[in-house]
Amino acid sequence: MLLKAINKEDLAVFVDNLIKGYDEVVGPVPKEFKYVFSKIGSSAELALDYDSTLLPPKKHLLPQREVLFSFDKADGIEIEPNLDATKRVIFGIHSCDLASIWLMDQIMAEGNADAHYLTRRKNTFIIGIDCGKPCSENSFCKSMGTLKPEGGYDLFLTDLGDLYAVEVGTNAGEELLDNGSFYPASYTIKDRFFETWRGKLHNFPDRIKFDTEKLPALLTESYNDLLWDVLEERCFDCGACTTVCPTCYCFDVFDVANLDLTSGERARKWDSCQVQNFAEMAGGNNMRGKRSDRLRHRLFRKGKYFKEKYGKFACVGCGRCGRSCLAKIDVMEIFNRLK
Amino acid sequence: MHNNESFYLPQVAEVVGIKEFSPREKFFEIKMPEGPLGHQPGQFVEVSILGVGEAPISVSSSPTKDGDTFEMCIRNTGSLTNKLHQLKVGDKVGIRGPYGVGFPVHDLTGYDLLFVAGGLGIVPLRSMINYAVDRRSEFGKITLLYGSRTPSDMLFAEDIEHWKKVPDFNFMPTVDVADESWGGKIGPITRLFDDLKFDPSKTMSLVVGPPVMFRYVLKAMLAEGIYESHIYLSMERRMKCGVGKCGHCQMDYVYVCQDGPVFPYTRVRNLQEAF
Repeated sequence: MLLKAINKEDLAVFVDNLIKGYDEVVGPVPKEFKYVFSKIGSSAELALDYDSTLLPPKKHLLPQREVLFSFDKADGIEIEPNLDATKRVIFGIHSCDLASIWLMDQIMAEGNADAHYLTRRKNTFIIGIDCGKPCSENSFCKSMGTLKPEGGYDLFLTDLGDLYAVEVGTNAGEELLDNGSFYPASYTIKDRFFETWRGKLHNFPDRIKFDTEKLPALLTESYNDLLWDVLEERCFDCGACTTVCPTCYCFDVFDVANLDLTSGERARKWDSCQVQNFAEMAGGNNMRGKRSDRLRHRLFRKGKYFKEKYGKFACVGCGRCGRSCLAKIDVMEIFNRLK
Repeated sequence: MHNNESFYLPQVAEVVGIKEFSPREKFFEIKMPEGPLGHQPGQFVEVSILGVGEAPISVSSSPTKDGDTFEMCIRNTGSLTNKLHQLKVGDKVGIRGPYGVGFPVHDLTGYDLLFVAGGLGIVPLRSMINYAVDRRSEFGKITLLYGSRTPSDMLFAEDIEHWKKVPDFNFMPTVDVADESWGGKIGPITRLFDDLKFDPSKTMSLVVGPPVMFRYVLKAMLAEGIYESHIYLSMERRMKCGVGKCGHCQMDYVYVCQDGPVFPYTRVRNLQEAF
């Protein structure tokens, strides 16, 4: 691992150079009493001590609504794909969200590669930052194995007080270094870096009360548990959990015709397996017609299906769903009830 | 991560033939812009009208068919299929695909084939029936059990007349509700098993129908001694993207658009959301 360092007072110049050198720099900025990932015009807008953002950074890789292609039927049929190759830097992503981007990369590249996601992703540079301390009572990143990033970033910054230690994850990350006053990390800095991480791993609580390697088996056993029926009584079908989830990527595909009725576009937008008609078919059959079916399906995706396929959980423990649920349904609590 | 080609772009295909099967079902013959579709029996395509939308539709013709067109039978049941029903010969449609896993034609050769079609299940099955009929010598006895609501709901009348003339092809229909014209069996499709003679070790069964049919037909088939490992079925789900991304067709951990729509029964029998 290539470890560099940058003094804190030099970080602003680095960010401002990125803003000058790339099409778009996105980072965490305050919004009312919370934070959001948003395009910035100056390093001064960044809030690098943010706890968590309302939405994960996925919206900059898989936008809420995205045009797949536009068409014009006026003179024959012309179809024009829409691929976003904006040179974009996302600055300040925490390790939980980095894990989710790694997962999304696997899914979108596997089999039939999704050119819309991958074009955007290929042109996006990812700079992560250490979150320092637990961001809320709902987060359980350590239990899900996402506290320490294992990749998925070009650069990753760890706060060491007067400077940041900078892990370089990719060749693209190494090129980014040209934009700032980075220098090789000395032995002293490396020792402080190791010490900081030892302390961090110790300071984060184990909020899942069992070894999460057992989670897929526990979920399988729970398939017909009354738990799902109890949760059904509380769930409102609103889909907030999937909207704020960094690993939820399901989408709907739909057409929009322009007023001339000869041109328009085909687009996709985020969809939610928690809403009633998600799996409904033309004849009205619906394999997940009940809320309990849908809740269980989401939890099985997060804690079982992906783990069995990719070796990683599709829950990164960020806690956003627990924080945003009107009915206070909390994935962490559900997992803990399985034991 | 180097694929710049978007799989969402449809090819512009032409409607070259239309038949009205019933007030609800129409039959379309489609010509792709460059040569044949290149599908396997049992696969599906995503059909779209630009500005209206897109839906997964089974390919109903066999790749062994003469000419380089393919066929679909579409029920008018929603906004897109309603617009499809208004199409005329010469109109254009968007086609993506073929997608998914079809019937394992090579594994089926040498066996007797037992087709079990409930309602619209005949539509995807026809691709395999015609494949077997066109390559008659590669397969043993062919039996088709076909259950419809009423006699007028039976699709592919011309094909049925043709199939009846094929050597060793046993056509066994039944209807839920008969009319005066009907001289055949009345009742659920499982009733046809009473008259069925088959050699379990030599028979491969291909079953397509609505979810409710799977439940009782599979039970009856197993009770008749059909081997679990000799049953294939095609499952209908709401494949929005067709390529394993959008999540709509996922049942348990299986993406129907990728791993199906045709499955060996042994693959799906333990899935909680399959039936």
